[in-house]
Amino acid sequence: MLRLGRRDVGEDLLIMAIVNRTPDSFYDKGATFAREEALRRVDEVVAEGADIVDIGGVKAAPGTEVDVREEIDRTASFVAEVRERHPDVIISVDTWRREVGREACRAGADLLNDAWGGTDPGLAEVAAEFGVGLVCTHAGGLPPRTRPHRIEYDDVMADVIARTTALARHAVDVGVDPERVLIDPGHDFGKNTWHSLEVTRRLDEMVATGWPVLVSLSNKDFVGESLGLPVDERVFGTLAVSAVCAWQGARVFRAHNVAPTRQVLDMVAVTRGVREPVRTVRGLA
Amino acid sequence: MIVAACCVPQTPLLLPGLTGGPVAEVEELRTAALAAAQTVVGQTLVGGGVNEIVVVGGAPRTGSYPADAPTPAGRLAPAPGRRPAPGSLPVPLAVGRSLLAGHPVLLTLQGVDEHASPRSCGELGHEIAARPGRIGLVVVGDGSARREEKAPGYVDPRALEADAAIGDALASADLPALAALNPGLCDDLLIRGRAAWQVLAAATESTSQTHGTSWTAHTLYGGAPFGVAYWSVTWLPHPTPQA
Repeated sequence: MLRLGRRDVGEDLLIMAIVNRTPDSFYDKGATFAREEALRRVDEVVAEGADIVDIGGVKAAPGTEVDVREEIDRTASFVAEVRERHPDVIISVDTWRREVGREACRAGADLLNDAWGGTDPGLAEVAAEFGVGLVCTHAGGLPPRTRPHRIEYDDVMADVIARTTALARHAVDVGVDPERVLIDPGHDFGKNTWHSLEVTRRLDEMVATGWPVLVSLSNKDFVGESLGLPVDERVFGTLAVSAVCAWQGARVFRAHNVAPTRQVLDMVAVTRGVREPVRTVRGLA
Repeated sequence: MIVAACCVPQTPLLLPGLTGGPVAEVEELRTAALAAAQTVVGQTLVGGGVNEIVVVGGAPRTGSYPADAPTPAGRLAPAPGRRPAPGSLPVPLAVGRSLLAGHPVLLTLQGVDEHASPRSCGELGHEIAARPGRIGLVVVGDGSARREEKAPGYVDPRALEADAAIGDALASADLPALAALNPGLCDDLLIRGRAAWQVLAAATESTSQTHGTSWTAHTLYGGAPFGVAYWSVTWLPHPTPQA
């Protein structure tokens, strides 16, 4: 059973919509850095069917240093505003820092998205302290905001499973509710395109660990390199791998493009037989 | 004695199949690297006696690696038909070997600890030059991965100057300049070729001393299409040393 915020998720496939409070993120290039634009984005993605909003204050790629104070300024008060405006949406904050996690939880966050794979072990303790969820990600051991370069694995999926499940067990050991812990293979984090494709095609092995799996695929470079497409032309490729991951049992999909992702996930769920078709009359009357 | 040498990049992109479809920048680089390796093979196979190609590249430990060891391609680019294999080669040695595929040469894959001191690298270079027969060197290494914001290692303002100095040294067979490369600075700048180039400098210096040769460099390629500095360069001795 997966629980996030006040919601028992059951068998549902969830969309985590990306909301960047950054001036420089790779896909939206700062479109929602300003508070008003970010609030509008939250309203929009909730209307489109997002279950979770993932608020980030630091872009993943290397770039201008963002210190703890600045990251808190970008995220915490915004979390409080979203909480007030959308009482039922699950609020996630994308950070690797315990100080940021703590302020986000005070402001009403339900989930800490530790996309850099346990760099700060104190983040799990914050999740435990506030009774919120935690995403345990594989970043191949890379420090935050660094790019993979010539990384080799004996077996990339074995490494993904070993590291993420160790992080998940650690989280439970320090008191995080085991029903609020997710694991994420970390596409493109500590991985080249080949590695990301391998974890995509073998995602079922991760699902078999029993921990709910979150995937973050949206418009990433492994999609771009696979299809030879720039960042603004990767939606179809993203949707294809989203379907592949959903078919293998991924539960949460971190996405920029919410409406088309919702359609894909609903279609996969219907095909798997875990969701009822909306209307099936053809040939039956 | 060393009868020819070349320097080629150690990028995994040069391992066959790793780019998926052909990538123009990589194919241009591959053409230059293959031509450089071909030059070394041609020079080395002239004449009788023992002819050996020694591939020198960075490795976790200094020592020779089996010439038939598995490729690391499956570790870097796992795919259904390309699985990780135990005991696979360090990438630089695999790249060097791949450039020599199809040539009937006696091949030695010589790893050099990428953190080895310049002195250790020098000793290894002298030892290789003293091996019997005609030896061609294929030296695998590349420059900084921190040349620009989009580079794999992000940007370091010292990278361009360091790469320019290395490029000049390779393009002019400047042995003292290569021997003097600072390991700490190279590590900081993610310059992976330092140890291998210092082996090259010592090996060619050794042959110069014993045979009175000087070295003429010819640059086939210099560029950084992905934020890492690559060179493809040949070094030929004048006059050609005779056993």
